[in-house]
Parts: sequence; structure tokens; C-alpha cells
Amino acid sequence: MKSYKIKALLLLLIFSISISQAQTIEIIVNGQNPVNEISFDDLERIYLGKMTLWENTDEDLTILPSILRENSILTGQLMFATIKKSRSKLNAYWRKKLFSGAGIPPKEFRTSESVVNYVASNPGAIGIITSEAKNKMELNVKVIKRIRRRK
Amino acid sequence: MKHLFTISTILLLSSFSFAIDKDKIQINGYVSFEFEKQIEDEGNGDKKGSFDADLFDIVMNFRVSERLRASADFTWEHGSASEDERGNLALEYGFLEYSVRDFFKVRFGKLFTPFGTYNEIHTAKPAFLSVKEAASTNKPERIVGEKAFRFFPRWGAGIGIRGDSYIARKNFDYDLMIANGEQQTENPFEQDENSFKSISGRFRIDLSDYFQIGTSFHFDKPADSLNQKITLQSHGLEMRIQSGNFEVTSEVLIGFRKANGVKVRQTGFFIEPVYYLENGLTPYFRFEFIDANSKIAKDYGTAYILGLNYEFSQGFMFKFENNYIKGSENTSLKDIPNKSYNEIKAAIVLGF
Repeated sequence: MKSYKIKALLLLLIFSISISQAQTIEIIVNGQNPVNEISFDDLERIYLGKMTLWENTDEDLTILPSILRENSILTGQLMFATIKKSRSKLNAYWRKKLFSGAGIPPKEFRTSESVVNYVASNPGAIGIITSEAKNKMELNVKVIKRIRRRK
Repeated sequence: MKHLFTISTILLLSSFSFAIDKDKIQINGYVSFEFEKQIEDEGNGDKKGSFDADLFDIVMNFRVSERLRASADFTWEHGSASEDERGNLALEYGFLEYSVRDFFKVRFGKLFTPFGTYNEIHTAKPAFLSVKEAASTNKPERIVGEKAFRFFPRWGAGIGIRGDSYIARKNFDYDLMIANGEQQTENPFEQDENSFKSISGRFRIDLSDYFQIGTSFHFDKPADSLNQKITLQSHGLEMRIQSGNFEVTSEVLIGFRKANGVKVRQTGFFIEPVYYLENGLTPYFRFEFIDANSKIAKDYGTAYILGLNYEFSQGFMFKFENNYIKGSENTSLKDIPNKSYNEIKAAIVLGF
């Protein structure tokens, strides 16, 4: 009986890994934002609060970064794949920046769908989501970068 | 020209009030509760052992417009009760910031002095691992007594310029502040006793993903109640190295204080290696050194701080450490036979 449980767990693990390997991380912005692509360097600067303005837009537009809450391995992988910092180090970094008055940290959401809704309703917003986030293309958002999730 | 006009308008109409959408307000803060107890009978620490309702702090950010931000940090320290004149209630900072570009932001108001590693987070206990900030560079009198002087004031009322940018894909940031400077009789955040303004600044650059260096300076001619001619000039050098879970932060400061032709050179230094374990536990060690006056022999002091920081969940942490303070013959510890003492410190901290 015990060996069956172990096999079942192993199968579940392999299945999870194969599913996760198929996932893609997507960087989305509001549909009205004229930006159509973004470099890794700029993405890192945005999520570290070093880049706060969309400077290539006609009107003033503050960048409003959004992220998933620290509640899953996935969140950590998303952050590491995009800005090369673990979620805990990103939190520590932002505590220093926030309490010293240097900036406002990214807005946190529980689900990718909430990130999509936030980006859809704020012209300056940017979000990092998984490709499974539903209905995003029906909303006022566009994908400006796709990243294959690291194995 | 458009930005110059906007900045001028902000200055002229600084009392103008705005109605702000609740989505444009963000409130954060932190709470810290501490305990300190000196082990030996003699020393400069807390001999009886005390609980300390250290801080309740609220940080508010108002995004007034796409380029204008108002930010304030209110602190209630040591269980503030104004009726009994206990504790401390303070506006740590309160400013307007206008972003011309990311590399050029202008601030007006009460600001933290941009100097070194710890000053701008000295009350923000969730922002660093140890119970207290490094004394050797921030409060040198805690190690060697009142003979030491502060390298720079905590705050200044004035104008700040700051920005982030990059050179050859290496990120850097800078800060520059012109303020009233230190005062003896007047409120330094309201009125200057002399016409000279203090100047402070800092420049930091990420030489790689793992190595950051920075330099700071502060220059002032503080007014003095005895009409002494005083100048204060401080320079700092800081660096941070990260490799996996291992991190080392270090800083060295040299300050020159000249009063009526007598010049004193003071040196402060700390090095802090830490190792981030996977389960939220972080052991840390900090060695500190302060020489209050280079011309007086044996007036230096050292501190060895060994501690453990345990972050239960995001921003919620427990800290426990021992501070071993060792003075020399001419420090305030001169009357203590072995010229050293231990003090344990603990804290429960929440950042939100």
C-alpha cells in the first residue's frame, strides 16, 4: 500500500513538472500603453523601483508594477526568471527602499487574474503573470514579453 | 522649461490642498518591541533590564499626479504620551517629490540625510537584521561616550535631488541635499541660525549583480550657542558583496570637526557578514570600531555583535543578539576594571 502511495506521488510530481515546463511567463501592460516590447534590464529596473516613468509616451505616465503575493513557489520562480532576485530578497530590498522614502513597492495580488484586472484598469500598470491567466486577451491588456519558465 | 515651471509652482503653492483618490494612497508601516539587559554590573548598558515599546510607525505615500508624490513617515517612539512628556512623536520625513526624469527627481521638505548604509532606515527595524543600527557610524557615543561627535545629522529641512540611471548597463543612484544644517537654539526644520547651508550627498553603483559600492559626504558650518566657529566635514565609503546566501556589508567614515581652530579627526568602521539560511533564519555578526579623536591615545572603542534573525513570515521577525562593548583607557568606560561589558538585546518586529 505504501509503495502505491509513493508511486502515485511520483507520478503526480512528474505530471506537475511536465505541466510547469509548458508554462510561459508573460509580461503585460495596459492596452493603451504604446510600449510594445521591453528588455530584461528595463524590467529589472521597473521592479526595483529604479525606472518609474514610461518616458516614451506622449503623456505623463507613472509605471505601476504589480506582482503576485509571496504564497507559492511559482511566485518566486516568476520573480527570479524576470529580475534575478528571490522573492525574499526582493521583499528585503523593498523594505529598505520603502521605509527610507525612496519609492513605493509593486502592488501585490493573490492571483494572476487579479493582476490582469489591475493592469487592464490602470494605463501605467505592468504585471508579471503565467500564461494560464484566463481571459486576459479579452481585456484591455497586451503582452509585451514572453519568457519560457526555467526548468 | 515646463518642469521648471511645475517645480516653481509647487514651491509657491505648497499650501494648496488636493483631494486624492483612495487608490492613489498607500499606507505601510512597522512596529517594534524590544528588550535589553546588560549582563555585568558595570557598563553603559541597561543594567536593570527593560522592555521597550520601541516604535509604532506609519509611512504614507500619496501619488498626487503622475509625476508628483507626497510622502510622510510618522513615528511614535517609546510609547509616546505628550501629557506626561514621555516618549517621542516625530515626523521622520515629510516631503513632496517631483519626477522630472528617473535620473532627476526634486524633493522639498524634511528629509533624511542621505549618508551611508543605515541613516535612512535607522528607525525601520524590519529593514535590517540587527536590533540596532551600526553605532560606530551612526551613534558613536554609544560605544565611546559623549566625547564622540555625530558624523552627520539624522535629518535636514531643505531641498533634495535624487535619481537612478545606468552607465554601461551598471545601475547607479545618487542623492544630494541642501538643508539648514545643525542648530543649537532654533528648530533646524524651521529656521537657520546662520546663512550657511549644509550639503550632503551620496553616490552608489552596482558594479555587478553581486557587488555594490558607494560614497557619501556631509559638509556643514553648524551654529553654536557659544559663537564658536565650527565646521563639520565627513566622508564615507560603503560596499556590499553578495554571493548566493552570503552577504557582507562594510562602511568606513572619517569626520573632521573644527572648533575655534582645533581640529578633531574621528574614524568609524563596521563590517557585517551574514548568511541567509533557507528557512528564514539569518545569523549575523558585526564588528565595529570607533576612534573618537585621532590625537588622543587609547580613546577608541569596539563592538562585537553576534545575533540571529528569524523571519517567521513576510516582514514579521524575531531578533536576538549579544553586544560585547569594549572601551579603552580614555573612553567613557575608563572606570570599569576590565573596560568591557555584554548586553543582550531582543526584538519582535513587524513591517507591513
